[in-house]
Amino acid sequence: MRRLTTGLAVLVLLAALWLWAGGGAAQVAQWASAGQRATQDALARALRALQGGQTGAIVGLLGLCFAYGFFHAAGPGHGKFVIGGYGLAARVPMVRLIGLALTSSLAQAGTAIVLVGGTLAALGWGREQVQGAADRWLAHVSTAMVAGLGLWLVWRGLRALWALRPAPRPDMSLAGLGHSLDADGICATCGHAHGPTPAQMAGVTGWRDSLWLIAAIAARPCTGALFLLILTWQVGLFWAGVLGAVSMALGTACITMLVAGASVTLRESALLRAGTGPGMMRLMAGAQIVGGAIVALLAVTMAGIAA
Amino acid sequence: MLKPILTALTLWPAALAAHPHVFVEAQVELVMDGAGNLLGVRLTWTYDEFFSYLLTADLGIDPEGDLILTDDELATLQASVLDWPADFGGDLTVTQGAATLPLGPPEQASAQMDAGRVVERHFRPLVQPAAAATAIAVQVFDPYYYVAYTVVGDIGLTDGAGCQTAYQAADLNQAYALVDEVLYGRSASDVGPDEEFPEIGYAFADLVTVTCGG
Repeated sequence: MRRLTTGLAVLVLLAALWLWAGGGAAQVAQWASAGQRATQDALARALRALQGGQTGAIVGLLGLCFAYGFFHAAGPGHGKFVIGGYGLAARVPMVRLIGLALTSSLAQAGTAIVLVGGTLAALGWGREQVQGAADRWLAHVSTAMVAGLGLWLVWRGLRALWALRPAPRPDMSLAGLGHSLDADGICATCGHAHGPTPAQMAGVTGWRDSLWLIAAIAARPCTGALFLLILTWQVGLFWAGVLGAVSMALGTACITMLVAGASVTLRESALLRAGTGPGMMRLMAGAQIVGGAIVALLAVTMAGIAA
Repeated sequence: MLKPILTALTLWPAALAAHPHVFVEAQVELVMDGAGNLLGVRLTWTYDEFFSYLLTADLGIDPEGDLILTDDELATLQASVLDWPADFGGDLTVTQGAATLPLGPPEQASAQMDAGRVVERHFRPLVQPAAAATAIAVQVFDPYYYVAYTVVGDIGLTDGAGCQTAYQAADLNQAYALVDEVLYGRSASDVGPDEEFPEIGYAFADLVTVTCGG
C-alpha cells in the first residue's frame, strides 16, 4: 500500500512538472487546438443531422459531449482544483470525495439546465442575455464561495495547530511555579488529550462541508454546457442539449474523480511517511492551511482572469 | 469577414474557444500582369464547419439542416458575410523587403455554402502594381489570432510567365513558444474571448512568395 501510494504520488508530481516546466504545455496547446476543432466540427455535424430528423445522431452528440467534458476538465478547470485542493487540505475519505466529485459535476449541469431553460422559457431572454448573466453574476458568486471554502480550511488548520501547541495546564497560573513540565513543555501527569485524533479531524469534514463544496462548484455552470443548451434551444433541439449537458458532466466527473483519488493518495502517502504522533498531527494541520490557501488563492486568480 | 456575427462566437466558452476561435483554410492565387508585376491576390476562405453552423443558426437559415439554401437564405448569407466591418483590414499582408504594399478594397466578392462550410471569395488589388524582381511576400493572418488561417492547396499563379512561387508553412512550435513568452506562461486557452490578445498572429502565418525573372 505504502509503495503503491508513493508511486502514484511520484507520477502525479512528474506529470505536473512536465506540464509546467518541461515545455509540455506548448505541445498540449497544439494538440488541444486540433482537438478543439475536430470536436467543434463533429458537434456541428451531429446537430445538423438531428435537425434533419436523424434521431440516431443523438448517440454521437452524447459521445461528443462526454469527450468534451472529459478533455475540458483535463485543462485548467474550476471544479477540479476545488476538489483537489479540498482533498489535499481536509482528511476526507477517498470514496466520499469521489462521490462529491460526481455529485458536484452533475449539480453543475443541473444549474446550467435550470438557468438556460428557466430564463429562456420564462423571460424570453436571448442568448447573449443568458450568457451575460452567467458571466457577470454566477462567476462571482462561485468565486466568493470557493474563496470562503479556502479560508475556512485555513482557519480550521490554524485552530488544529493551536490545539496542538505545547500548553501548560489551565491551573498553572494559579498554582504559581509549583508544577514542572518536561523538556517538550508537555505535562507528564495530566494525561488529557492535547489535540484532536485523526478520526476526529476526519469527522469534522461533515455534510455541511460537502454541501458547501457542491454548491460552490454548481454555482458556476460550465460555459460549454450553457453554450450547447442555448444553441440547441435556438434550433429547437433543447432536449438534446439537456442530455448533452448531463453527458458533459459525466465526462467532467471522470477527471474530477481521478483528481479526487490522486489528491487523497498524495495526502495519505505524505501522512504515511510522517508516521504517527504529534508530528503527523502538525503536518496534517499544515497541509490543511496550505491546501486552504491554495483554494482561496485560486478563487482570487480565477476572478482576475474572468475580470 | 464576419466580425459582426462573431458575437455568436464570443459566447463559446473560453476553455473550448481558446484562441483561435475560427479556423479558415485559405487558397491563395497570385494575379500577375504577364510582365513580372503583381496586380493583386485572389483569396478563397473556407470556414470551419462549426463556425459555419453557428452562422446559419444565428441567421436562422437552413432550419432543416440539409445544407440546401433557398435563394432568400443565400441572399441573407451573402449580405452577412460580405459586409465587412469598417475596422476589418482583410487579414491579408503583402510585403516586399521592409515595405508593406497597400491594398485596395475587395472586389468580385462572393459567398456560398459548400458541404456545410461557408466559402468566401474575393480579389484584393494592389493599389500600385509591384514588380516582383525581388521577392514579394503574401501572408494571410489575423493579427490577434482570433481566426487561424492555413494556406491550403497549390499556390495559384495567373499570367505569371517567368515567375515562381514558393510556400513555407508557419513554424508552430516557434509560434507557441512566442505565445508562451508573451503571455508570461499563461496558456492561450486561459485568455477569454473578450480579452485583448497580444498581436502574435503573424507568428502563425504561412508564407507565400512570388519572384519573377532572374
